[in-house]
Amino acid sequence: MKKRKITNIAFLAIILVFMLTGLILTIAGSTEFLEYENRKANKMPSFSVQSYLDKSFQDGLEDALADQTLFAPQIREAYNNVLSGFIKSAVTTFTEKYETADTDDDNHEIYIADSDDIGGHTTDDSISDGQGEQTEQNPVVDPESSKDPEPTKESEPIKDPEPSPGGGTYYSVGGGMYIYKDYVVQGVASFKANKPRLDAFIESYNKAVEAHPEQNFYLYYIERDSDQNYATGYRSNIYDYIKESVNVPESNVSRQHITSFEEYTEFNIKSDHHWGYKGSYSGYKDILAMLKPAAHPLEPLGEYKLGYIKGSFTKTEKTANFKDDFYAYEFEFPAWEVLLNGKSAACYGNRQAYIDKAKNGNTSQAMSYGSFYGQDVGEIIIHNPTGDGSLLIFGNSYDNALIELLAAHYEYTYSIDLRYYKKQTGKSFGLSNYLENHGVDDILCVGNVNYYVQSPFKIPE
Amino acid sequence: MTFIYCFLPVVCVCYFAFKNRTWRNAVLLVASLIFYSWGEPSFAALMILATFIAYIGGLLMSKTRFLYYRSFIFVITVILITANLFIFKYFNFVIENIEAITGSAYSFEKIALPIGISFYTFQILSYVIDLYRKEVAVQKNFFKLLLYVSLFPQLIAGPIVRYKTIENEIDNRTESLDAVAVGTRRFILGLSKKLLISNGAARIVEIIYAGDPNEFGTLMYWLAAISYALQIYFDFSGYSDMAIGAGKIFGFNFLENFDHPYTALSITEFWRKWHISLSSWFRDYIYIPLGGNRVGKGRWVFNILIVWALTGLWHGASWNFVLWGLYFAVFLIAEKLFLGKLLSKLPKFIQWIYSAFVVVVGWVIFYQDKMDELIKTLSMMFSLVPTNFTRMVANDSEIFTALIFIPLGIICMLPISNWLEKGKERSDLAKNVLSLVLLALCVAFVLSTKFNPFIYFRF
Repeated sequence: MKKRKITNIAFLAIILVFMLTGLILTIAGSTEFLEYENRKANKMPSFSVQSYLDKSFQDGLEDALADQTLFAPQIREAYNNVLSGFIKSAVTTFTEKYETADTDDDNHEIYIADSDDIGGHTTDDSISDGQGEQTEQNPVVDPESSKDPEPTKESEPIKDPEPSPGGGTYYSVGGGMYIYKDYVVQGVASFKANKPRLDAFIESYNKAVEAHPEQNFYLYYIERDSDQNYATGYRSNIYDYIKESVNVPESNVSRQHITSFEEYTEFNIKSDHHWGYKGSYSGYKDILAMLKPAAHPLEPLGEYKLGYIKGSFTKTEKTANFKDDFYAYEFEFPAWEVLLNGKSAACYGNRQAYIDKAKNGNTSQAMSYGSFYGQDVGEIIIHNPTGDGSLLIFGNSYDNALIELLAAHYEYTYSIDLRYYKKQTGKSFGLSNYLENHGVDDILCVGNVNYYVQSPFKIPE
Repeated sequence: MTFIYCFLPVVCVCYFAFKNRTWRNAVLLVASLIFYSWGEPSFAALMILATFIAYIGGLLMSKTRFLYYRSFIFVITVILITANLFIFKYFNFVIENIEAITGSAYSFEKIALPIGISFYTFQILSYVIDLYRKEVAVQKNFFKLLLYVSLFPQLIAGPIVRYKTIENEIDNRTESLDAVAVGTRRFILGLSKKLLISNGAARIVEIIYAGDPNEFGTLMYWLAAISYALQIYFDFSGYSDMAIGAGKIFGFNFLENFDHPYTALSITEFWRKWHISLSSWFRDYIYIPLGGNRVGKGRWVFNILIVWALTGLWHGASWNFVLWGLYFAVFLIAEKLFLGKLLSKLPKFIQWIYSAFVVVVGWVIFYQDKMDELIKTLSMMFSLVPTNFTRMVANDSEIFTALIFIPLGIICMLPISNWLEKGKERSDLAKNVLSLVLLALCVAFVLSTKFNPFIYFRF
């Protein structure tokens, strides 16, 4: 009887202490930022009769409890890992044993939203705070476009002559993402659905070209999963449309051409929407060949494993288990001055610091694209006394891996991220004004499909 | 999250901080009103008003010596309370049907349905009817009557607790450490049923019914129907377990609401085991007053049809619910007339297959509230459309995880859950450890996913 009483007291005490600790922690609001989800933690809302009646207090409390209670982020991460691991292995087993009879015939087209997060985890606030990984765009499935793989006649782009169907099936994990052959991939950007904003970008680009004939305009398009369905071989051909539409010499437009899933895996990783180190290095060589055909690209001094990365694709519960080794090349950059949003900085990104850590044996750290190459910054200026000429780069986060490589060849390199320029510098961006102040020779637009179809990237006059 | 981490522990601490019964009741009443107003603050006033009508009606009934006046007050009280239910639950439905019949369109603003209105209305009615029948004493303290109606453990999703069940316990109940432990374990069991099984089964239903029927085929449509049967059972019985458990923590002993209904060998037996508080309410307050089975065959069939049409309508203001009720009425009549005898001669397994088949098809009628969808779903189930497994998995790979819940649900619908509480030989230690593990899983689930369908919004 006594033993039973003690057992029950212990049982109830454990529950009560656990629950009340969660409540006290929520009221205290000690957790500021959730690393795993890369966002600010929700905190206890303030109470008022109005907030109770309109239920914002209730909703706020629910969100705060979900973020502040004991081990909440760890529990969420563990849960997501288990769920994602199960789905991943189930899909793999299913693919191996049963898939052959019926391959995918859906092209999984998507509409690319203007918002800036994948899986809803990254916010503009977290970016402006300079905390956490920055991600690009959330490919929202567009019900209108997803079932419409056949473009209309007037909007039909020139078909790429070499699509390479790899067979197999795209397994949906929600949010416009799929598992395909052990990779997380996005659906193909729908040409039809994205065309209006693509046209708006092209119009702004052509206007800039026309307004500034003394500058050399270039464009580089990074192909990836959002350009081709590797199972069916269906391509959006958005690049071909851009190339046809921009008023610059053909030699000033190029792309990272990926025609098969094997090529995709060479240049990209499983768990993140950014390109891998080989992809960005290959892109750099392509761009340099276009900008300065006579220049010799930097050669890597070495290749290092720095740790692991669980990138933007892993921020949903069904893909949390995906992970890659994070590799990088080491380069020898000239001594230069760096200005980030007008403030002097020792460097952009942390390439060498991480590589030095790896050289000292630390090869198991959690890495992110932004922490290594550099975060998205409104304006980056690199003054390289050994370089020649000046370059202005417009891009999204894909160019973070390119900026220093290209800066090694120019005296002045300016990088503008139009999403953050005004927010971080406090000034509006105008191309004419900027060129007047800085005297630029070459202007490069670079990014994946998201860059070309998202409204914030239109070039302001 | 708010209920588990904030509401329940705080209420427990406040409740047991007092020794006085009045203060403890006050804590429960305040907590119950906060609980109800948490989701929709304005509707709390409606519940209080309905209770007040019953309170005044009860007082007046108890004061008059004349049967005529007593009956008059009773009828008026019942009409007012039922009118409240009718206006908020059925008015839109009636107008929509009038519009459909006459072809005219009335401009009126749709009335929102207060959550739990069917449950608390039936509770209030049970008090008024039992008082009229002199089966319970009048409650002279409005707050005690309000406590009975609004008692948070059973307010939203039942069971329908009759006043006479807890009449005595409002003033005279005993709380004990053992009862708190037993209640907590029962609550955790219910929470686990809801979060770990019902929600998982619900994902299958959602994935399949939202997808392309030609990809899912006949097999998966049957799987969806079975999943919905599991979802609704574990959801509903889970809430009942939580209510019974939470009630026990505070010294109330609510009656059981489910008795492993999917083990039933006939539809008659199924309805003796499913939502017992509702079927017994209809039996005692509608079926028996209509004459029950002590009438001619024709009248008896009429009584059954009326009771089951109303049972269907209680679940929601839609024709599919009426159809669902009448569907069961047909089987109940048939079993009473001839089918029951026939079935009893068959092996028990065949009886179970019959019962399960009828119930599962019944849940499809219950789920699909649009006639075209219902016809489409039943057509898929009773035709031979092959399943395209690759496309099915490709459309939503989560179907893999969801499918785990079918065998899990089938195992757990058997009487094994009695193991947790009724197995005398089990030690409290084992029960407590298992409960803690289940609670940890529930917390992990509730922290990690926002998928939590609530199927009582129409009740």
